[in-house]
Amino acid sequence: MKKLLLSFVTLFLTFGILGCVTVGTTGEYVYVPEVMLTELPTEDVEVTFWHIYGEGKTAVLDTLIAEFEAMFPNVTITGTSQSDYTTLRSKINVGVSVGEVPTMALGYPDHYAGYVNAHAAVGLDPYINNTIEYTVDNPLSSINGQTITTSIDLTDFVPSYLAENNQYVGGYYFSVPFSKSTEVMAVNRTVLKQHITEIRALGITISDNGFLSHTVPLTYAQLEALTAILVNTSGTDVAAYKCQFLMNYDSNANLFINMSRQWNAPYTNSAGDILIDNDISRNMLKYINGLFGTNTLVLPTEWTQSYGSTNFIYGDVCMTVGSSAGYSYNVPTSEYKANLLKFGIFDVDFVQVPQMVLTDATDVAVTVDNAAVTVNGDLSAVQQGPNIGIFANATRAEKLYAWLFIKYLIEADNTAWWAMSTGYLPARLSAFTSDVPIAMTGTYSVTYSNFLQIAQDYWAADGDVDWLTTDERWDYLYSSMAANIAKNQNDFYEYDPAFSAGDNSAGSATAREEAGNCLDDIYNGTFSPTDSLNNMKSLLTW
Amino acid sequence: MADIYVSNVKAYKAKKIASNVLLYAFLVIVALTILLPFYWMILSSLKSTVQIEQVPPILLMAPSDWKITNYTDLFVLVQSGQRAGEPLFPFFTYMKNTVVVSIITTIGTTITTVLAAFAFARLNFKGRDILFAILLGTMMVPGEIFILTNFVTVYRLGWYSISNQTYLDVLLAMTIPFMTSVFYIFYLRQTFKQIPNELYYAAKVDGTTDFKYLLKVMIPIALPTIITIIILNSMGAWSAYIWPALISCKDEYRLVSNGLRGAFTDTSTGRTDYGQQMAASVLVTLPLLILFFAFRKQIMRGVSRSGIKG
Repeated sequence: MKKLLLSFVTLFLTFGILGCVTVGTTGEYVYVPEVMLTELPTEDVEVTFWHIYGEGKTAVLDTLIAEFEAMFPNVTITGTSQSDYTTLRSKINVGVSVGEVPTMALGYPDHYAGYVNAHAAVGLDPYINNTIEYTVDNPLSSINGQTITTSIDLTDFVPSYLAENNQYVGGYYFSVPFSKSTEVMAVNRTVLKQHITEIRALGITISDNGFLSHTVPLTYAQLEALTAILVNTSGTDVAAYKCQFLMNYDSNANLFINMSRQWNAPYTNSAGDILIDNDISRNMLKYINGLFGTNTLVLPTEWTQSYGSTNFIYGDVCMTVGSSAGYSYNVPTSEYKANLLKFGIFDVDFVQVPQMVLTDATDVAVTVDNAAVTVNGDLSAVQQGPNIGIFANATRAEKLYAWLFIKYLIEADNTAWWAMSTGYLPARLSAFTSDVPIAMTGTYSVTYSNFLQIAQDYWAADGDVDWLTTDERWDYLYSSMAANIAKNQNDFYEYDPAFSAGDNSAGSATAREEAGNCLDDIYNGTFSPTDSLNNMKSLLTW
Repeated sequence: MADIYVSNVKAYKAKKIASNVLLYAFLVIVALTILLPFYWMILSSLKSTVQIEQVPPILLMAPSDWKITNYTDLFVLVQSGQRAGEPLFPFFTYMKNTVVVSIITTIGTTITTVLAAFAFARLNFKGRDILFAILLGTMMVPGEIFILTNFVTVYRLGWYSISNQTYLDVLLAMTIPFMTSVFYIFYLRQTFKQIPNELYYAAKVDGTTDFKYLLKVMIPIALPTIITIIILNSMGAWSAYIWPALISCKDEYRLVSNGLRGAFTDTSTGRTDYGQQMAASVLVTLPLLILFFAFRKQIMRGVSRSGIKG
């Protein structure tokens, strides 16, 4: 009896003590606009900037930091890599509880959704729309005597980039785009070249040397038709120039989400509602399952891989969709063992990601469960990559200089340089026409518009260019291809609604993860399309 | 009679050989199971990304195919930025931090554990049992729950500051919150309780103090258990990840576990250079292996006596 009593007392005290810990509540968000300083602070200011970049990208960033510090000698930008996004987000989330966070940081939309909920992120609209002119009055400054503003021209940004960054509360900007990328599709041009006549018979535009259109994406209906020409389901047939699978999709989550938009199938919304329990999503999954069954579509799980690039290079699959920043992983080189490359070191081209609907937004009829289904969604390509924002507990001086630094980072020439140096895409439209030469190597400089021109010239010549083998354009051909394709998809970039986990459902990051698992389960035969969707719903809602 | 004896001996020998074959076959399989990940780590550390992704996988490699640059590149100096002049993977810095944190945490934990276990096992004071029960009750609370409260405490003690964190701050923040372990206290208390009371009374009759009795009698008797605690605690401190990642504000304060995580991942694509990551992992594992081989007799004795395997 005494021991029983002791146990009760122990449990009571243990949980009682723990219960004393107060958990903060966020409450209703009230937007309080920042009050802008009327003059540039002259005291020493340190801006702490957390990112996740390794040595290569940090070197580029450090150059921009040095240039900024030369303009504002009283400012020190302390950039620190937090090694990965999970660590970066965790540290900021924990730091918010004590008000110890960096002045500014990189982050994905779901990160910023959490920061906004915690009242930790600063609304950037006052900086964007600020009309105050500041005169730099510092003899040590490289821009001494010049007048600067904090405002930026929002019309110069890709519209969907902006929409991603003002989706949180009241349409205010809590971050701005910084390092963006999208998906592009690599195709085995060597295989395509052997089937020109058959492909043209399907009404698909293809050049004599096997280049597909770079401005009009293939549709899934066209892919289904191409399967009959390019696929041998029992295994790659080198003699007949046929692969075992037609198209790999690296990111199963992107496939689910992108297809949902193309089908007009509700997925999630910014309020955090999980909307997947609908007939359109069910039909979409059944349709995808049909593509799996005919080897039109394959996921990396087929080869127990995270990406399908290696099997694309091996010749197991004729096309592969992956990140524009990872274009180089889809180019075969002599580094691969020759006996593994079924088509040898083949020619690669990059095109836009496939779409359900046509570019003129005409509805498309597809067959699902032997019944005709009309698809009336939108053209859609994912936009991905982190944004950048400022935290609320910084001083007004720190916030002002942090914003000026952000503005500097995303200036047209700088975002173009950042993009060419890192594989990301420029955040601003004017970067595409930037005429500032960027030194890529000790001997080679190129403007962003000329960088884009490399692939355009190659395509215009149908691959028959008279460049010398030592011409440095060869080194940038594939990155230029990926950048051009990304630019051509600008008009139909879409973003994921970002939200934190709520009382009734998981957060957007978990929803995305489960969307990928849902397709993997269908591919692996673990669940039927309907059961997999039900399973996904049960994991995301409670 | 002699024939029966001979046939019995033969049957015995046959049984003995068969059982030995089975035993050693089992041991070989277990040994291979344990060694395989190490072999794979070393093999991967010598492969290029293309070779790592090769299907079917490469199981053996001629030395001429080894990509030694996975190792040498780790020591390539960063050309620019805040880490200019330092190696790409600051192995020695991370290792130094890890060793220092492990040693301080282990010493601290051992001292608090021995003293607390002695108090709960030997000393009589009011509320001892209920206090011990409360301590045991906290074992039911997952460690992750304490992260936020520990973080707030560390911040209020001035050991966490994004701009002004010093090396001493980070050492205190990484070690002080983990210098006690309820499990180890419970574990050692049980060992202490097995030491006969008569020894304590005899020592008392001789005029020995409690502390002297602890040092001269209890600790030597419970040494295998204490060694086990030291080993387990060192391993825990060596592989700690979440807390050190949260609490260190500067790159040069990181532990190897944190350094290994993101240093070799291309942030644009999320792809990891596994060859280099495995090369760094080999370098990190090497000191532990050397330590193990150097002190294996003591470690094995400690583990086998206490009956606990790490």
